[in-house]
Amino acid sequence: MWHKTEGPEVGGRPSRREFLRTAGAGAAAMFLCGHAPYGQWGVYRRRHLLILTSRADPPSFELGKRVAEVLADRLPSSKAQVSRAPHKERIASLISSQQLDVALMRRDDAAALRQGRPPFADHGPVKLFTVVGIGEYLFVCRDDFAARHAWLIAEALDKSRSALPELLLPSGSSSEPPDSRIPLHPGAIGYFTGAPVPGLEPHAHEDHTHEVDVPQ
Amino acid sequence: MMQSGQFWIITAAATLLLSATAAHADTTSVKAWQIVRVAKTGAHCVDDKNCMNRMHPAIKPVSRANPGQHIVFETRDAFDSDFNLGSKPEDVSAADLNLVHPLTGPVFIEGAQRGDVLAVTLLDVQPDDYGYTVIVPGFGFLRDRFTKPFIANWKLNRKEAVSDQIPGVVIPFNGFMGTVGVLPGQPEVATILTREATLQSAGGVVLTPQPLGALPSDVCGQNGSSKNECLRTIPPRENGGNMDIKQMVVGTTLLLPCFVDGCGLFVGDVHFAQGDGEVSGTAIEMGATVTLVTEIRKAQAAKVKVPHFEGGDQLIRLAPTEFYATTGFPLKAKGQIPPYHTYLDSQKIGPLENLSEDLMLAARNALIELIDWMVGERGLTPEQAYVVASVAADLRIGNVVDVPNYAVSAILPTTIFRK
Repeated sequence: MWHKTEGPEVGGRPSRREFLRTAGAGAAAMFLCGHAPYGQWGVYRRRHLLILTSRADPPSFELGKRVAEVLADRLPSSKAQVSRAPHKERIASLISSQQLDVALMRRDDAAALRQGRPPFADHGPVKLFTVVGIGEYLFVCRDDFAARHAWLIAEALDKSRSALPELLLPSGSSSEPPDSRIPLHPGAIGYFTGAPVPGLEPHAHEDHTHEVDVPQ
Repeated sequence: MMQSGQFWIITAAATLLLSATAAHADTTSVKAWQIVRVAKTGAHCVDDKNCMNRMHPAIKPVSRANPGQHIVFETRDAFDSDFNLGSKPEDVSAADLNLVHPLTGPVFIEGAQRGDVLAVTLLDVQPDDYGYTVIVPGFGFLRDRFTKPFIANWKLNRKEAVSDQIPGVVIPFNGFMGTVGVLPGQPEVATILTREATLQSAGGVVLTPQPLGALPSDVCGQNGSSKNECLRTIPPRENGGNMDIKQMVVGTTLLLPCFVDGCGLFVGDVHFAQGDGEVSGTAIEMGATVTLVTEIRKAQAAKVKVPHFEGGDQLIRLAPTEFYATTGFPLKAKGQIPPYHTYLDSQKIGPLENLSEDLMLAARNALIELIDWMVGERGLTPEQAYVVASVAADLRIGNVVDVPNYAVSAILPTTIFRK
């Protein structure tokens, strides 16, 4: 499979090395702009796609584990892992403060965060977008999440529909968001409408941090 | 001559008096000290008017105490976390880093002025029942080697700590304040912000002011009066703070230069136990109830420009009764640049196999040797061994003269291993 090999792009798709370089570009961009609160932690959060779920909402954690498994299989260079916040307010805090980039949220909660309504009034509004819907949950990200990554995640999950426990939306070639209150991310729209995988935004190429190149 | 009736009245009165005296003789009711208690309220720092997680002179005191009074601080864990005995690695990656460290205070010490020294003697540390040690990816001394989150949940009492994640290991109690300090003054804040910004521009690891999650919010939060000046709590500085020095145990006295009138004493981030180095980035972190007493040493700050501490025989009990130790020297493989040197951008370091006068590399090598020993001889996983080293092993400087190879040892008390 293409994503399990090193080397140059084939058919416009990214190599593992390229995705590694750009994985978590939202966080990376933040770090490079000097906004990241913890540069050292940013290393890990930049190298892994951490999917936020809530300990107070056990189904979200179970779904997050499954989504991480699917992405680990189809998009291993994302290094996707599930992350478990103690409650949904912490999810809002981590997303709004740009410490983490993506989350599985219930629709009403995602809408409340996007609009800055309770219980997220202290953390929003956040320009939240949907990558895909999975059952009652939305896989959401901020507007600064790289279109290329949203496209790749949407593709990976779309092609693994049978491996997911709930219905994945949109279906077919629709660009209708699963919930009208949270629009689809442009990268996801691109994937579901048949557009080619986008190129990298300029900031995603920046890589000056000393922590990145430490010996492994 | 006393009449019979009078005798019995007096006898009855005396009996009553004696019994009343006996009831009051319970020693628990005898109070010897004046106590100021800085209580913890609510689940987290944000719920607690006595809690802050940034440092700035504009932060108002939450309590006042006289020198000589016992001050009881109820403190929170370093991450202001929701961790518990069931916490797992996936909980670690969701920690909100803007909340580090929740600190109890500041307390205004009556009579203390800028230019004085505040002597703080630690009287007692009462641990919570629960503590944790985490490996935080990207953080810690061997951050290049330990790249996945890990958590050990500890059950605590005043004697020792045990963890299901590291069976067979028992860590003795040695509680101390990981973070204790006084508020910086306005001149100090200006100096600190400038020098840390300069270091950041040189590529150093610096945490600049971050209003998100900052407390107290009226000073340090997003709409706070000093939101761009509130200092983060990770680095210790001249005003004390997150020093993480395990020798500051009960009975020792910490001397802090006072930068604002009243000093603004704060306490938090209490550690149940820690090795010299705190190598994984965390000790056995816990909430605790800390009791201390203060004394003002007038106009002594010119002699104590940074924290000093003094004591008696307290360090004797920290010495192991049985141990195993490794050593390290500043040697490395060609092409390797230790993580803490990369910001120097030195072209010379890469090709070298031997660095000159480099204690950091020596310490790193001693630690790696010790971890390998624990894995090989004690059957621990690397993550378990790293955590054990963080809470129990001491990195000690052997020499800083034997050029180019200064020596560091890593000393582990082997009594922590129980069959």
